Amino acid sequence: MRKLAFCANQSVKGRIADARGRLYRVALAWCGDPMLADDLVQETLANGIAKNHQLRDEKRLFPWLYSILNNNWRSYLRARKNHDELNDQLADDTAIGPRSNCQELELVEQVRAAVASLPLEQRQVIALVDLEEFSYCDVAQVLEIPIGTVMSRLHRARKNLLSRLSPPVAESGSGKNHMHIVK
Amino acid sequence: MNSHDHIDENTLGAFVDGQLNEADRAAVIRALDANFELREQVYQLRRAKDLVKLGFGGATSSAAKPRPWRGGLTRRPAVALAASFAMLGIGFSAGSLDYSLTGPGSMQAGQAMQELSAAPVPQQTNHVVLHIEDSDPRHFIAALNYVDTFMQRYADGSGEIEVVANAGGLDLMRAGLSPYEQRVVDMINRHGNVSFIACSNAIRNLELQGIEPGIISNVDTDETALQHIVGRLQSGWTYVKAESLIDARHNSAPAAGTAL
Repeated sequence: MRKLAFCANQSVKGRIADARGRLYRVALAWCGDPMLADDLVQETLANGIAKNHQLRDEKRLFPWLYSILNNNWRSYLRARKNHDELNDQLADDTAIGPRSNCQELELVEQVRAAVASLPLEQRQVIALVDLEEFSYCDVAQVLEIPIGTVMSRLHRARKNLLSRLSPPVAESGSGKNHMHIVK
Repeated sequence: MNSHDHIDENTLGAFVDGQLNEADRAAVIRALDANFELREQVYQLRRAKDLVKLGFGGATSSAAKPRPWRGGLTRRPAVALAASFAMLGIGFSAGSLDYSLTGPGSMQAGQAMQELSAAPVPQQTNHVVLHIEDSDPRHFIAALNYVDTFMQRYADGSGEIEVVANAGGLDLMRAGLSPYEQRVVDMINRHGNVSFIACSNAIRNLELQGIEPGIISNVDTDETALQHIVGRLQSGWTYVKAESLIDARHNSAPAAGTAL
């Protein structure tokens, strides 16, 4: 039994180590800085490996890892006193000027710049949903926010992203959600 | 829920993200069938998803191997973060991205792609990506005529052309629906340097609406039109949009001098 537990433990550690690429994409979308993203991922992997025994359900590996990543990211921001980053309204008002500067950067860089100009909270949600294809419930759990907040941030993120990359998208109604989220 | 008036933006987002149960999903699809504006909103949401995937899907860590921890994140200078945002903000030319590759007939993709095509990458006129995104039969004819002309020009095999379809353009490549199905099949079978690519997103959109896409055999369906076209442009291929081939004087023939 002890040998089996050891093997399982090694398997989880291996999967954690293999998660670097996925974690990096999301970390980069969150922070916009390749070096910082590397550091965040490195710390997340180290934390994950050290605390792998706390993972009760291996199927929840990635939500668990992203929770660690989120904690590390928040710790970093707190330490740097960048709390302003957490203010949606402020970030909305101070977004990077969308139609300035050079016209020659490639599409990928333009998208990254547009994402970087989103408020932090919107970046976090859109990265987890669109890159990781997490369910709204998983995102809510990882970021420790209500599912309704996930949905509203996601909507604002997409709307802002499109407005930064193209003419304004047609507005839709703003009624309450009438449907049931199943995932 | 019988009216699209009851479908808010969060619900549309949940639909796009596959987060609705079967009943609600069916209700949204019914509403989409009845309302063009709602469809446009869904296409825009999908476009946003595609852009995020495009922007970060290929990002790779510079840390190929685990490296020694540098002593904690909080030691990094605060200025690094600010600098990184400033760096990424350079060259944010939002106005050049007026495309809607998964849109229900928007004709703005070409402009953006033409602009991208004009980027400082040496263009290869013997490598053409031909984009069609609407179901206008005149555009189908123009595109296929263009391919024929192209193949005659490069009969020695030195040229390569790809027809990429999304949105309504997908109909060109749908078995049993395309008015030029046999011609497409013949082109694929006859020429090794002609490819037809059907946008995976457009296919998915049809499937989500309960419509069987029925793509013609040997048409590639692995990528989105956006991914494929951008990749080709970055490699220096020439971008041609099918609708631009229509010459006002001839109405169904490739415009004289268009990229050939």
